[in-house]
Amino acid sequence: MAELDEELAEATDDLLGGRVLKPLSEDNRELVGVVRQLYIVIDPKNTPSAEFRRRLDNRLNSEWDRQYAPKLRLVDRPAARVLALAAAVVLVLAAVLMLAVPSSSNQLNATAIGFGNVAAVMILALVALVGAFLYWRGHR
Amino acid sequence: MNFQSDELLAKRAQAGDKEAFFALYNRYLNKVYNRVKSKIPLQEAEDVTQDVFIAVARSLKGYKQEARFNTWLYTIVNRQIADFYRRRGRRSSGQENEVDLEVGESVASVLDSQEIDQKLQIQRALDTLPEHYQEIILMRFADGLTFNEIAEERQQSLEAIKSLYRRAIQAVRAAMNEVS
Repeated sequence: MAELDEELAEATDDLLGGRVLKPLSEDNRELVGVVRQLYIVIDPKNTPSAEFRRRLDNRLNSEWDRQYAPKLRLVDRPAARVLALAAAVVLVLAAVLMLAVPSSSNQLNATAIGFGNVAAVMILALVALVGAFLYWRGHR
Repeated sequence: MNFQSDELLAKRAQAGDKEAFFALYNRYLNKVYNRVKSKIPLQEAEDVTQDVFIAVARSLKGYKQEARFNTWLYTIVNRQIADFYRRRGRRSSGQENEVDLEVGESVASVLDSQEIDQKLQIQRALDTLPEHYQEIILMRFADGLTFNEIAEERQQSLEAIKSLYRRAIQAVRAAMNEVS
């Protein structure tokens, strides 16, 4: 039995390698016919067309980018980060200016600043801090 | 580039390495195409092959390194082939003869009628085989592995592989006789 297995395996190798088959024992003759038919249907040397390869390469490239390219969040975009930093700087400057106004002007106006202005300054400072934090996170 | 195992390439691809993904794709394109072609009408084989690799790109993150990469890949191949027949079955409402005729006619430009008959007969016979018989035939014919490589891959002796192969071919012959 082992000889028959060996013989059929060798005949298959010869067939797939394009070599002339050696004479076979009767038990394997019909089986080689099956091997030959299999070879017609599934020839390992068959490759897909160049046109198909090109199409598939392109399709897979775009599929890969869709699946794996990092999705930039708003705060991750470089332009958004620069804008956040600029806004933070402007807000801090505005806060400093607003605080500086009462001391440089007439002391009589100091009370006119009132509670509302202090609250506005604090809100601006808070917004500036948030802006700076977002910028820092984007750069981490 | 040094030779890297499928599993290592898959791991790199899972981490977002496009080059590793395309190395796997280049390594397996012909094998997948030939496997698909062994069970699907020739003119549809390219579409199904494309579906396989798109499914691989989409589900690669889910691949667990416990299984060999090619085992996982061929599971996707079989699933896509099954999906193809499910879709086709729905379209043809189970009228098998019409489907075969349609397949035969559309391949006619590529193969002569005798070859078409043989191809359909072989495809049907292959489909009826137990999986381990199908697998050894596909490894030798579609993947182009030598018997030594198959023995190594399946971690079996060369004698056992050759014996399994002969039994598989006998099973194809029996199935073809039944089909015809």
